[in-house]
Amino acid sequence: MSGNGATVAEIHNFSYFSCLLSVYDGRSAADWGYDFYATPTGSPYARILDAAIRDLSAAGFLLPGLEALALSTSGEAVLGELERHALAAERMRYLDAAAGAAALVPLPTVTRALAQEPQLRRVFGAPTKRDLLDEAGYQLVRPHFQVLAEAFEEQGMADADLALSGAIWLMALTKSEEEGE
Amino acid sequence: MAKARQGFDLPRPERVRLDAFSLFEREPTIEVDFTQAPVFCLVGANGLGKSTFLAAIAYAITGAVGQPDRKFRNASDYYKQTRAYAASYFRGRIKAEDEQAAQITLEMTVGDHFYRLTRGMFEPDGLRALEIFDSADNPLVEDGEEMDDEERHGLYKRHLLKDTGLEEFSQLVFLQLFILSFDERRALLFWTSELMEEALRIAFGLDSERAREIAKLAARVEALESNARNDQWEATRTRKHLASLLSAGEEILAEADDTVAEQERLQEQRDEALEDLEAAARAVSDAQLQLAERTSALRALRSDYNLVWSERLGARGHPGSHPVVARSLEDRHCMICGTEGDRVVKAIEGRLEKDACPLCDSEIKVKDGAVGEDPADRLQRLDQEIVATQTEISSDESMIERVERDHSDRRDHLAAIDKDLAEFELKNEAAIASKGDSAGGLKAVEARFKTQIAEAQKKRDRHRKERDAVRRKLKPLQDELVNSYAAAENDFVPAFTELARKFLGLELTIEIERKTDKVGLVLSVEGQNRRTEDALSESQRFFVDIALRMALIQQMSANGAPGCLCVDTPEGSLDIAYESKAGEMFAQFVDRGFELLMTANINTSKLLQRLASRRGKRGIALERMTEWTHLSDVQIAEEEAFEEAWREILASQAEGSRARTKGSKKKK
Repeated sequence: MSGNGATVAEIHNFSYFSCLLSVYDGRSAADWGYDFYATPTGSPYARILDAAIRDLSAAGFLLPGLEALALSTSGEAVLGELERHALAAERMRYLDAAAGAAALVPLPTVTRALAQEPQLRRVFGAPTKRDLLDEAGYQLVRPHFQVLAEAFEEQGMADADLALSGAIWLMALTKSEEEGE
Repeated sequence: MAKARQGFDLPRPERVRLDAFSLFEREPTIEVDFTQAPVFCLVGANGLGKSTFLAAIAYAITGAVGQPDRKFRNASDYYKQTRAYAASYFRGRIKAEDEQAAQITLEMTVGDHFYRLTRGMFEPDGLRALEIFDSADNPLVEDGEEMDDEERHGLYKRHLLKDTGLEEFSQLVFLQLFILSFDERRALLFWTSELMEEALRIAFGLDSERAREIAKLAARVEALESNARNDQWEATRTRKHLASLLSAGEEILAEADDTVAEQERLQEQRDEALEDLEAAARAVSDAQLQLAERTSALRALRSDYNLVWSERLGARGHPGSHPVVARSLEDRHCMICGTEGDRVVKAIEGRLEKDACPLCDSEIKVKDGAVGEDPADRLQRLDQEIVATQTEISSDESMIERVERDHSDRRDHLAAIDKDLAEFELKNEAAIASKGDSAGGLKAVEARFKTQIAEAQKKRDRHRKERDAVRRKLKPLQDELVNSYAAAENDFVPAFTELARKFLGLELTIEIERKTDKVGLVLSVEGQNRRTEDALSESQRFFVDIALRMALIQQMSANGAPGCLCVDTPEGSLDIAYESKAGEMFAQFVDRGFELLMTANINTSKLLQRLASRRGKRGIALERMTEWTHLSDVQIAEEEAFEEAWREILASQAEGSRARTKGSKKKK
């Protein structure tokens, strides 16, 4: 996200990344609350996010900027209310972890790295959209998560912070792109 | 009323010739003449064939051989049953290669007629040759007449019956085998009621029709009595069986009680298990219903939440929150015209405070999302309710998992009890059924048994009733027999007692007695009735019975036609004390004009010596059969003793002859 907000694409990516962290943490993708699918350009997309962005913008909680959407003052107040809701608590945890990972990794890296996520890489260039984190998709990311967990365990860091785990994974995805894997 | 009996002309053997009779190895063809004296005695040792010789004579006359252990019912039945026995009797005594050739030729007189007949030893129903002459030597039946052996035999029987005066051939067979013979079977008339009654019927004047009727009715009475006894036995047996069953049934019922109790226990268990299963099913249903309700409530809450959120978003749809206006206020920069500064904020807020659109100054109608409650607070509340409901749903899901597991366990438990119950009932089906009131129950079995008992008793009573009816028909015939006997009693009884007293040396008598369905003679010795065989010694029994035969022969023989008694080795049963007495008895019989054809062992028997002495050379013809066949080693070793015994007998005979020349007796 830009320093002054996030683009719509970043919002989708960021939400998808949060969902991936929840799966890495042992939750089911169905518990996230909404589904993602991959666009032909290899980007994650959630329809409900689009609607939410629209509604929030219409309500003035999100303000369009030159490059990105930003929270208005009222938007921040609503955010504060929603953070107190139990319904949001679980999702907030992974959103915070994703935010924390993004803070450890250069922002362009986050987008580029996510594009190397096995499911998204598989569908890049495909003519139609494809569901993400269904059973087949899960089988693609599971090995990544196993390797990641084992690596932390070997380092005696089995309880490593999710943000750190997420950041390491993003760096690994970036490295794999660089090495042409 | 009985016909007056004139007596019978009983057969008197005169000569016999045996051909190819391989039992007599040294003399398979042998001729014996019985006419030299009224007593003929074939003298030999044990096992030489004396009994067979006498049996062959009876066979020649009748075509029958007395069968040991054959139960006697009446003459007709006995003749039918024993006809096949003759072949097997001789088969053991004549070699197979001689069977065809073996034959007996008998010459005998019957009344005034002379018979010469030839019978194959294995042809009881045929005669190979037959000649019959009258007293003037005129042939009544000539040899060579065109007929087969069976036809010849039929002709023979017709003539014989006519000449004897008997009406049925079976009567002749009976007389020859049981009255005119005392053979190795040792059949005792006194102690065989059927034989006695048959003998009395023939001897004491009932004509054959009545005799046949008595025999038939007596047989019918016996059969009915036997049936009644069988019915009674059946009833008793069934009663005992029932008692045993009831006794065992008490145990079975006790076991059945336990079995049924166990069955009931299992059924109770099943009922309980079924109730538990139904309760578990209701618990599952209730839990599922609760989950459905809570899930529905959750959906409603979410819907409310989304609605309130929408209202929250809608409530903030005021022009003041439009992104352009909001941005303009944020940045203090008009997004439309680009003007910057506080005047932008002031202008926009001024119109908003007046509820006017910042762009076109139109009046703004304010939408309020909720009445009475702040949407934020409502959302907060709904959020809490949603979380609480989710927690409850999670609890409900755990509950469902638990109750479904419980339901499954109870279903398995019920299935197991059903299986145990089914197996138990299958294994104990009989015991369970016996306890019940079904057709297989013990009560029903008892009822069936009682019905069987009643039916058997009914049959018994029916048989007894019929028996009594037959007895009523039999009685007058038996009365005739008794009356007929009574008419002859004065001659018959002394004829017997004199002979028997010769032997026993004791006072004895006989009386006619009617026992239920039979008429018989009771022997009384020294005033004591001797109804059972063991009331006398063996030799006493035998010789008393021989005396009876002698008396019966005397009773039956027509005047001028004395009968011939065949006796087989009686002295073998004698105590030494009685040997000479027996000889006296025999001698007295012959003195009365009757004939005796007997066999005897060659030993120092006093009977033979006494008889030989009494009769002398003309009164007794002795034939030594030790030459007929080969002696055993034992017999050879004792040959000197045999010779001495023979000399003693001959000496007795000679002595008798000398005694008789002093006072001769008229030969009958």
